[in-house]
Amino acid sequence: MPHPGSEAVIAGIGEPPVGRLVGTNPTELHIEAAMLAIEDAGIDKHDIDGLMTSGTFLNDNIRHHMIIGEHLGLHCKTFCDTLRTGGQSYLNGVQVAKWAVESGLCKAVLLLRGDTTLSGVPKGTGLKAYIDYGAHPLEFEVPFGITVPGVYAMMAQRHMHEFGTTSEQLAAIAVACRKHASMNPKAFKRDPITIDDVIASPMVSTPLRLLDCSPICDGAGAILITSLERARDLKAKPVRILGTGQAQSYYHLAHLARATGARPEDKSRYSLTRSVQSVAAKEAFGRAGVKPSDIDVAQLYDSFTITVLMQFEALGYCAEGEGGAFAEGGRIELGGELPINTNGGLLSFGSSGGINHIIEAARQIRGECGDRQVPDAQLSLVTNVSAVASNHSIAILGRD
Amino acid sequence: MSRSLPTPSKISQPFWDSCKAEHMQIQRCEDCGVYAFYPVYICPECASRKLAWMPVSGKGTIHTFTVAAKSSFEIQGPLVVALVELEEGAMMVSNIKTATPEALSIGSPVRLTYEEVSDEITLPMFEPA
Ligand SMILES: [Zn+2]
Repeated sequence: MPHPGSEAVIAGIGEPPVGRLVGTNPTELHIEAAMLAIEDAGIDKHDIDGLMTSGTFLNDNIRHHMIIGEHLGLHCKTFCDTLRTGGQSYLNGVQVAKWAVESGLCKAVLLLRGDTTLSGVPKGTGLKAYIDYGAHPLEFEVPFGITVPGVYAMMAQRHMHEFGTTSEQLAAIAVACRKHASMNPKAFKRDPITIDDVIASPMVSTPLRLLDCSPICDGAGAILITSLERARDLKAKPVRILGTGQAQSYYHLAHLARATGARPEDKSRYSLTRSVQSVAAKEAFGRAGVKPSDIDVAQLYDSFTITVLMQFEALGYCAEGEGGAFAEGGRIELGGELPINTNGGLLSFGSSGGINHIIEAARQIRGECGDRQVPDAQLSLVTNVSAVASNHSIAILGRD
Repeated sequence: MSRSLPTPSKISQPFWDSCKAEHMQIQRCEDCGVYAFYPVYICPECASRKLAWMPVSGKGTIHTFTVAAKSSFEIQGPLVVALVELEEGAMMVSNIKTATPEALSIGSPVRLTYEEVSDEITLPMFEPA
């Protein structure tokens, strides 16, 4: 435990517009997001001595952080890296930044994402670009026509088979996200939808339909992490990082389904529908010293509706197999037991990757969410998920 | 866009050769008995290096599957991507060749078949049994 005051906090956030951002590019979005976070915190940029980025989909570079560091004029960093864990890079980055600050390695760490996956990728070339990016196993899965919606669809199919989960229950998640997005002037998709609208939307890969899938969207985000004592002298209200956790398993569906390599006594705990997120959750809740029912608002990574549904179970909000029922009846909408994705999430707010979930989680603690503010939000849960629901990072945020 | 084809590696070449011969073999650990797939250097369960290539029966069941609304490459019939559990216990992603995907369900029995997709590569596929 660090000494009081050296505890790392979120001291600044930056979120440029999302949507189809014609005429910009990923580097510019990184700079815009960074400048917003620096302005929000009111920090002297010379005090930033840590930088993490996550690369970009097109024109990627293994040392992407160097390109961005130069553009920002951050001369000498004592820690810097390009994160490579996909959509979960950002809470991974929050955890690493926390360690860097609390160990005394860094005074302030900037965590950035920006990409133009919508306007920057010519129509019809996205899938090939994604495959070329190496985001899925090339030799044993890609030749059979596997896609990102396809792998999540196979999880949804399995969840339906094992537990009787329905398309309507999945749809309730998309409906909740859209309802919240309709209250967020910055969101990409704002027209309210119903469960029937989701069911009537075109099939993408059975059983997932178009409105079960997050739209491809341009966007960016920035988070500045520094010590609590430093943050108290800055402009923005510090947001505490009460607990973090990570767990990462595998890429290949077969390995996930069989929990290949796990201790024999642990194998039955994991399957295609039971991810290692439960391990990350135990860590994060344990470190924060709180339980799932204490959480006031949650930003759950929502690449697809099934991604969210499985998390209700792994995070401990309901028993295994009951994620579908948990999603129903307004429980996950504002005013419900666990309002999720108050900005609209990836499903409706847009952007890509998990940084905007963290920004919204911090904003709820700061009490700056306007119409979609959860009254008196004290504890904010946020998750990032990537690959095949196999890479997980979690944080629990709270007030100073 | 055409079907993206595998590039065999040192460790996977015997597997792809066995598919080309339409007599698929996968590795079995001689120490713990587990059948591994994809091809590996050590047993992922017990770390043994004693891995032997063994023919499979070709019988399996569907662990899960999805029917794509459209395929990114030309195929005959619908694109059904499935995770198949082989009788030997190993699982692999493949395609189910069927004109009636609505008749498929998790747990359905399938049997191994082959599709020659290039001079070098024959893909193992499955059809309803
Ligand atoms: Zn073994």
